[in-house]
Amino acid sequence: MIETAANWAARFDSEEASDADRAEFVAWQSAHPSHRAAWNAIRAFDSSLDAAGDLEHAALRRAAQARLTRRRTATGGFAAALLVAGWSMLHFAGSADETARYQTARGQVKTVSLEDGSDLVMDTDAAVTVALTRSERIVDLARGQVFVHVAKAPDRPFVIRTADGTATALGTAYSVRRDSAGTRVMVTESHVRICPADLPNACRTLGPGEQARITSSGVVGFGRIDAARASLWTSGWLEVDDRPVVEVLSEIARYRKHPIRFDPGQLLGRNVTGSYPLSDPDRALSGVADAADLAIARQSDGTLVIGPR
Amino acid sequence: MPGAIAAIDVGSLYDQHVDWLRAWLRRRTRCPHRAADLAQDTYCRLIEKSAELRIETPRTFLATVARRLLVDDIRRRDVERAILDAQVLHAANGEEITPERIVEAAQFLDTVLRVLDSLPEQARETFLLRRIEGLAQSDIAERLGISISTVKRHIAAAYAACVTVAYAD
Repeated sequence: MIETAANWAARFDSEEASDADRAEFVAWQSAHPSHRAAWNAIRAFDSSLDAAGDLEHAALRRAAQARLTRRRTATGGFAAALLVAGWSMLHFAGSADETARYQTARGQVKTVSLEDGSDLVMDTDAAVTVALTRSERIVDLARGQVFVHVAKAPDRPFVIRTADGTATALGTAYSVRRDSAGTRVMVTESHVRICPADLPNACRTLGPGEQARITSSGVVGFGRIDAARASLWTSGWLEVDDRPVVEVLSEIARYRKHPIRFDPGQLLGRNVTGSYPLSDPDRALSGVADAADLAIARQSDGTLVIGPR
Repeated sequence: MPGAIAAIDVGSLYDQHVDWLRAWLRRRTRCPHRAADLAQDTYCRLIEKSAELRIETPRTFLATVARRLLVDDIRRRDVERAILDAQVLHAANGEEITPERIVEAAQFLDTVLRVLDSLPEQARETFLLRRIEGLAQSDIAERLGISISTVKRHIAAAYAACVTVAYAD
C-alpha cells in the first residue's frame, strides 16, 4: 500500500501522468483511509522539501556529502527497517473540510490521526472538535489535555483554541491542557504563539521546553519544563521528581473512573519521586502510597480513601 | 527509590547487562563517554516502555534499542554540523537567521536524513538530484548511466521511505 502510494508519487513526479492515470489515482486514494493517509504523508514530506530555503538546501548538501565520504562500518544496518507497529495505533478521521468530534473516557488515552497528517494525542476525559479547512486547522478543546504533532503546512495555521485563548503552532509539537485554572500550554518542539481570547494584543511566543498559562487576565506563569517528561502521558506514564503527593494523587485521579478522597491538609509536606503507569491508575496509586507511606482503603462503590498510614 | 514501579524489572536488567552494553557501545563509538551516555539512554527508553514489553533475550533487545539510539545520535551530530556550516555561509552573505529558523531547519534536515539513510546509495543520489538540484528524471538517468524506469524506481523508494519514517514516530 505504501509502495503503491510511492509509485504514484514517482509517476506524478515525471509529469507524464494522463487523465486516465489521475482518475485511477483518485479511485485508489478513496478506496481506503490508509491509502489517503500514506498519500498525505508523502505530500507532507514533499511540501517540506518545496518549502525548504537556501539554508536548508545548503545544510542538506553538506550532510549528504559527509555521508557519501564516510564509511559506515560503525553501526552497520543503516537500512534497518523502521516499519514500526504504528499501524494499529492510527485512527482515521472523516474526510477533509468537515468538522469532527472526538472524546476520550476517563482513563483512556488515544491518538487521532488527522487528515492533514497531524497526530492528536488525547489525554483522559478530553473532548475536542476538529475543523480542517483549506485555510486553517482548528482544534477546539472543550476539556482535558491534548498533545499534537503538527504536519507542516505553512499556509494553513494549526490552532488549538479554548475559551481562554488560542495556541498557534509555529512549529511542530506541543500540548494544551484546559482545567479550572485556565489553559496551560507546553511546548516540546519549535515555537507556539499563544493569545488570550479577550486581549489580542497580549500574545506571546513560547519556545521549546517552555510553558505558560492563558487566563482571562492574560498570559501568566511562564516557566521551564522538562518537555520529554511533560508529554510522557502520551505513552501512558507519569514521571515525577520530588513533587507534593497531593499534586501526584490529583493527577492520577484524572485517569480513574471512580473518585479518590484524601485530606490535603494531612498530606502536606510529603513528596514523591517515581514513574507511575497511568494506564493502571490503581497500581499507580499503590506505588505512590508505598513511596509516601500512605494507607489506601477501598469502599464498595469503588471510591478510594487515602490517608497517612 | 521506593515507589518507582517501572524500575523493578529494568533494575535487574541493568545490574546484569550494563557492563556488557557499555562495552558493546564503546566498540562502536570508540568513546567511553558517549558509550556511557547511550547506555544510560537505552535504559531510560526501557523504563518508558517497560509496561508493554516482555523481553526474552535481553542482550539482543538492548542491542536493538542501543543501535537505534546510536543511529539517532550520529544523525543528530551530522544535522548540527551541517546547519552550523550552512549558517556560516549565510552569515557571510549578510543574511540574518533567527533561532526559530534554525530549529525548523534542524527538524527538516533530521527527517530528510532519516529518509535518505534508509535508502541505497544510488537511490539517495537520485532523489537528491531530483528534489534538491531539480534535475529532470531524464537528465538524472543520463548522468548516472541508468534507465528512466530505474530513476523512477529510486524516487518511488524514497517516497515509500518517507511514509515509513513518518509512521515510525
